[in-house]
Amino acid sequence: MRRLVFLLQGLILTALISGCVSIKMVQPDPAAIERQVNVGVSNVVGPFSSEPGVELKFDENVMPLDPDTSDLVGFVVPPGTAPGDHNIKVTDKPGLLEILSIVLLLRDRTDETTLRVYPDVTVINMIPASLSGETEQDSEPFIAINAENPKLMIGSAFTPNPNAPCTDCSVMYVSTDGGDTWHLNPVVPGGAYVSPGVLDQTYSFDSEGSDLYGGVIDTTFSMVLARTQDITSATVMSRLDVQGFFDLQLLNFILHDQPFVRARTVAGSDGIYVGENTLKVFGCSEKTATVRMSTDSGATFTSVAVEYRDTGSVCQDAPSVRPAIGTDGTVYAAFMGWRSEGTGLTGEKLFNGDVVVVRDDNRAAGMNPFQDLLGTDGLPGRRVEQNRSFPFTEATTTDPGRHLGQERYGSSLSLAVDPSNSSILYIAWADRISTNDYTVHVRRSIDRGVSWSSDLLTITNAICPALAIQHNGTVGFFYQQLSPDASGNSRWESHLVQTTDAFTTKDDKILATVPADSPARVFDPYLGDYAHIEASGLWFVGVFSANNTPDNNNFPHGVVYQRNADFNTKRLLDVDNTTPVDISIDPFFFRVKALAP
Amino acid sequence: MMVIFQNETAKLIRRLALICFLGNLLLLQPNIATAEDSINELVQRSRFIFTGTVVELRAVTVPSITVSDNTIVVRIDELIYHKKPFANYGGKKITVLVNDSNLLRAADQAVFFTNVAIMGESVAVRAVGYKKIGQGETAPRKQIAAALQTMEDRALVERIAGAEFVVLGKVSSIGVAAETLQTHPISEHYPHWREAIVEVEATLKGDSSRTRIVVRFPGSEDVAFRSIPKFKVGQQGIWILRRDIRPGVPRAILEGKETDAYMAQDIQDFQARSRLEKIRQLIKQ
Repeated sequence: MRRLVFLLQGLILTALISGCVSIKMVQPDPAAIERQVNVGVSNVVGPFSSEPGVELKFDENVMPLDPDTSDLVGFVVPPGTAPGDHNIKVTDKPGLLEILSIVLLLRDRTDETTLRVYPDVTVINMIPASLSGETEQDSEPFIAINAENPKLMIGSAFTPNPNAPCTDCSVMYVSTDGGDTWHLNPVVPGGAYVSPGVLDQTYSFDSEGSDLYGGVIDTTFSMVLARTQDITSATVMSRLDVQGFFDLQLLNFILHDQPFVRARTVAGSDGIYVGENTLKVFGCSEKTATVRMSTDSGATFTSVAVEYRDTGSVCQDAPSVRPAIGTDGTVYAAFMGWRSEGTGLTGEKLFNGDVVVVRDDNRAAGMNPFQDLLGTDGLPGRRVEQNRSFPFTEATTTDPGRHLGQERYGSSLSLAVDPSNSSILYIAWADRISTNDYTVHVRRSIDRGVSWSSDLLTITNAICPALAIQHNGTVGFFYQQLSPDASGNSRWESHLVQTTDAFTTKDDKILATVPADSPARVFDPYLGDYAHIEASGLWFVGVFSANNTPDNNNFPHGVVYQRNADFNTKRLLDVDNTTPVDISIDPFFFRVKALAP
Repeated sequence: MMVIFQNETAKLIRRLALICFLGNLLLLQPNIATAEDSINELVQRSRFIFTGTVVELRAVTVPSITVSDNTIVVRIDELIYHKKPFANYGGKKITVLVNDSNLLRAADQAVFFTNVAIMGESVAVRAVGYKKIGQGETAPRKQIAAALQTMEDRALVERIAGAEFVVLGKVSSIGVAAETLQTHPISEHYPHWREAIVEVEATLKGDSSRTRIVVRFPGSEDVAFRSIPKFKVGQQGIWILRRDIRPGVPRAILEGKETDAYMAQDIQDFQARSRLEKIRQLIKQ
């Protein structure tokens, strides 16, 4: 009798202590079809090995569980699951002891939650509904995703602030729901008097997700590096570092170009690396590929010239300098070292030069930053390829060979390092291999940039190459290609190619295919000197600019417009949902499920 | 006479003291006190002006904004001043961010002087100030229109005041500036300077002996120069010109002689010929 009382007391105590079954965590949320979802549970009564643990229902269907422990269960989202919100219900299955006890009477044995399942491919026009009347050329897009909370994202493009002229009021796109909806927040420093907004701009969150860093060329041609800790705040990003247009020491104007920001938190402080091209307006600039960097979370900045070879009579490198940071603190940077100048068949400028990668093995925090990777000539910087021919548009009406479609030739370049292995990196650049092409090449190194593969992929007449690598090694490669359709009309196709085996096999998704001849170009660049992609959880997430005609045929995997549009008549509509609006160039967000290796 | 003067002076001092006192009181008031501000000042600080009816206090139309005492929802009755994307906002409900909504009630009508703050599913605007419209009153449209005209004129007057030349003329030729022919950086943002020779038909301001002026402008079609006037041969109009004083830049060559070059860098620095009388009036100001 006494034993029975003890047992009952124990069971009541267990019931009281254990409380109700609850779901503590669902990861990832949102989830992907045919991908693992892990559910953390607590207060499952299972003190004895005979206890059966929990049952999990996904939309009322009992799921096979793996793992299946008393605090963590997992399942795979079934094939054919419709994108949208789904129910997850966890039930503490009654074991023998519970059946015999009072536990069943005293505690809730179920808990449930909602899990959003994303479609495999999502494309969203980022112009918000309130700007349905907008007709600007919103080119050169960029995106940054908060690693700790991937629902927080910012985007950018040459989207003017409708309030202009105003100061420190350039706009950034903000999403707090993983890219499903976007609004514009006028908090970017610089602008907008001469121009309705800042010029080149890129952004990066640190890896802890607490700070967003931005690099912009403002309307005074100064390079501004700025930071915010709250992307939804109405407070203008604080200026960390300003490189003015006129240099009092050099007594020369300095043209900073294409600040490309990457940031990563290592040992409690943020390393910020901004690739940029530093040009003297008067005289020979010589070696211009530069990384403006901070290893103390932006308290101090220094500039490091990363070109160690002669630039000859050209006196400069190409505009694009692209840093990439490994999770272990390895920092790479890629650039195109120009060596001599020539002329193409139609009179366009052609620069002969090298594709170069530099590396620093310790955050570039030492005395000789970016000198850990030597070339065969003994100089810092490995030449991935030499003697390439790079066309470059002078951006004037009289430039004879000025455009690929309506786009200018810039200096297309992208670099990505494997987050799980900093020895593995991919590079993509564009050059001319024949007489009038613009060909993107993709290559790989598996030994920290010492040796490089031959071309893994070549794409003719393409721009805006952008690379990203998942933790599982899957590579995502975005580009936009000028292609003729069946009628011979040119179209800009926006592709995302994925591979798990260095492009031996690949999955190629066309996110958009739009007319290349409309709308008419207002300024250069038409679509952008760059676009961007990042690996985020199960997804490749990115942004590109394109013709915004609301035509389902232009978006093979579907599209969602925030702005008002009638897909039947293929017309954009103003906020009154009646007045037609002219087509223009808009930024498009995309999210594509990463391949499993 | 002296007594009268002293009395008048004393009156003036008392008035000034009263004005200062009231001014201080206004300064102590929250932003809503801008209802007392002059329409000119409100217009000067606003890019989005409309008459609207308060639909709801402590409410928002933009989900990303937290509801507070400072958020109200207003239906736009009539747009008075706006930028292009907002042309069809009549009848729309939007969020207005005010410093203090205590003086407003639902169904109140007011003129709102605002700037667009957030553009999402709906728009949120930040109020510089507002002026309530009482029963039987109408919005002070004439005053606002006059203030807008004053604002526009003032900006142009400032451009004219800082200009060395204001000329009516016609572009006879365009060439590449010497600095662009020299070694220059290869960049998307390099201006690719051009020089337009403007045949002067009339000098509205400046040395009237000039019959030709060299006007430098960016030939680049880059985004950096999208708002800067560019010229072509045969183009006629009014140029508001400042001298190119950039250090180290070669002077222009005109008829074989070195001469100063001038620039029209602001979107207002080139005006249509039809604005001639207006520009003459502003120059007199």
